[in-house]
Amino acid sequence: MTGSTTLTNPTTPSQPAAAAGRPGDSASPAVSFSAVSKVFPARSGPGVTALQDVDLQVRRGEIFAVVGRSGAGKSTLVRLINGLERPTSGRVSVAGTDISTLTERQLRPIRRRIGMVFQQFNLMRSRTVVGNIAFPLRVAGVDKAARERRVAELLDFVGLREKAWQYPDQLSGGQKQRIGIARALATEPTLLLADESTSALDPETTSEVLALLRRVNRELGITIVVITHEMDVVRSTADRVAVLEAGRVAEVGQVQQVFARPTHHTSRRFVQADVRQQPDADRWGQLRRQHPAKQFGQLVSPDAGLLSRVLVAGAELGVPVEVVHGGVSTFKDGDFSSFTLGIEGPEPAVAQWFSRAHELAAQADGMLTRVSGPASGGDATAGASTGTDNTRTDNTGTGSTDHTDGKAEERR
Amino acid sequence: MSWDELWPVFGTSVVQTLLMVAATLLAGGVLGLLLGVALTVTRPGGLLASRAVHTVLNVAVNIVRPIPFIILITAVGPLTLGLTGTTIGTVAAIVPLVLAATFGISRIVEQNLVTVEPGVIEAARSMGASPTRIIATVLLPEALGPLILGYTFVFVAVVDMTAVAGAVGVGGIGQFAISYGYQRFNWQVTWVAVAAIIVLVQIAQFAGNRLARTALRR
Repeated sequence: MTGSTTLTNPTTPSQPAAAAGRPGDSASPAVSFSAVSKVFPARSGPGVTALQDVDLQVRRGEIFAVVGRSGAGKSTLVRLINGLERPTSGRVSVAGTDISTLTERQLRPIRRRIGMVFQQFNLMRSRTVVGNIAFPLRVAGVDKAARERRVAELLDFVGLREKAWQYPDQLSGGQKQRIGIARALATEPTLLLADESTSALDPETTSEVLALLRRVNRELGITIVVITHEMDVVRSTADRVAVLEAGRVAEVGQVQQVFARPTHHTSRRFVQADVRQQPDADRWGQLRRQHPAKQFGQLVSPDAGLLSRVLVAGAELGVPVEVVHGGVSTFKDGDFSSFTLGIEGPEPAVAQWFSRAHELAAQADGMLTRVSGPASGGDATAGASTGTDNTRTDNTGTGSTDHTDGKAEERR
Repeated sequence: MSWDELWPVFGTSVVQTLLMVAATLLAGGVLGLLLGVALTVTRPGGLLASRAVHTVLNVAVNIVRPIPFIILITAVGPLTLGLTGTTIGTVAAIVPLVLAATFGISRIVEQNLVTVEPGVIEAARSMGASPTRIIATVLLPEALGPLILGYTFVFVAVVDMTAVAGAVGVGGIGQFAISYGYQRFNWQVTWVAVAAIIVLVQIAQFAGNRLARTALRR
């Protein structure tokens, strides 16, 4: 897509460096939520609770993802960061500045330091590409010469210089979003909010836009908050992730960790929807027909080397273990592997292998799940990317899953 | 009356109509735009949402708009008298015309402004733009094409109103048709008046379409 033009950051005139805080207060996190709740009043009744008791910290320089199903409160959460919404209670701080108490007028200079990218791009159809990118600079009071210079730089950065004088209607979705990103970067923000920025795009364009966001983060050092319902967006871009469920934070952690060991059932569903290396219902049926005598285990880990150690353990115990399904997913920094293993042999040895393999998995920050009994129905894992309710071995009563990793939770 | 006598009267009538239409579109256009913007931005969820202000404006528009124009002219007689010193003639007619146009235009402006994507407004807010800046540089430009078509529609409606006002002696093509055509059983005069109005409307619609096409780039 883009060339390798680097975007220099010349100091833009008439920018109050204070407000959202350039360096100086580097101790405070980029964004901090403490006990934030948001209730939308209803005509009658108690109102709709969009967020409840949210505590989050976005660190400087990271790509932080917020994932959740529609209605989980993601959009509200991101709008609290630039004050488009106000918290009902709690405190939202941006670079150490408590923004929940500011007036609309006081918020304006802070918003100029926070870029925002939208699902529907939200470009002005009445303005050319140049006009759109220059708009936030006009708002910030940047003079004409500096504006033109900055717009040219940004067009180079997103690789769309040849589209300068076109109108948004003449651009493809991916091009529109790259212009949306250029516009969001115009006033040199320290923080970029991306609200479902790839949800309206096809897979190929999605990866282009995500690559651009990673570049923004890496080359310009801009902290990014990515809101998405797609786990593959989280996997390929984010450093850390918060899983939102019904307005509450279900889980926060390093992306790989959450993929390897999701602790909340919502996170598990999201992970399963994305990690396609796990067999779906059809595949399970096929596996059981092909290997009637085998028992199965599901091995997930950020460490692909775990597989060979687990296979070796089988050989040592005299029970042959083979990979019947699986693969490796790529993350922003590293991999995540998921393999379905088939094992055949006398029960004591098999049980011994499961317990040994569980230990090995735990050491490698991974997880081994023993799958027993026939699985049937209800699985949408294979094609699902929307976080539909998809579990592999439950919900008909005919299957059961033993957790051999010592985690006591029910897999639902 | 012969056409030798009628043509000069017809000429004056056309000028009077053009004068009334121009003045109405100018004053009513600006006032209607302001009122329409106010109606739009005070809507629930709007840029300057205010239930109270919106309700007041909404009710006011709904009170004035349904009054048939021929009745409105006489009903606002005292106001007309106060502003222009008379209730008869072309200049006096401009008062009720502007009044009716303002309220009519406000609805057309509102209709077109609410079609502007809320996301675009939100984007402008997220950049730290003030409400007045958003109205002037986002809301109105984004709706410019439909607004031009709306104003073209209003032009035709105003020509119609001036003709109706002809019934109460304000001059213009409408009165020409009524006084010299209808009341004297002179069909030709009526047809000439009709032709003049058709030409006027055609020109206006053509110009409006062109302008709108330029604004919409299609």
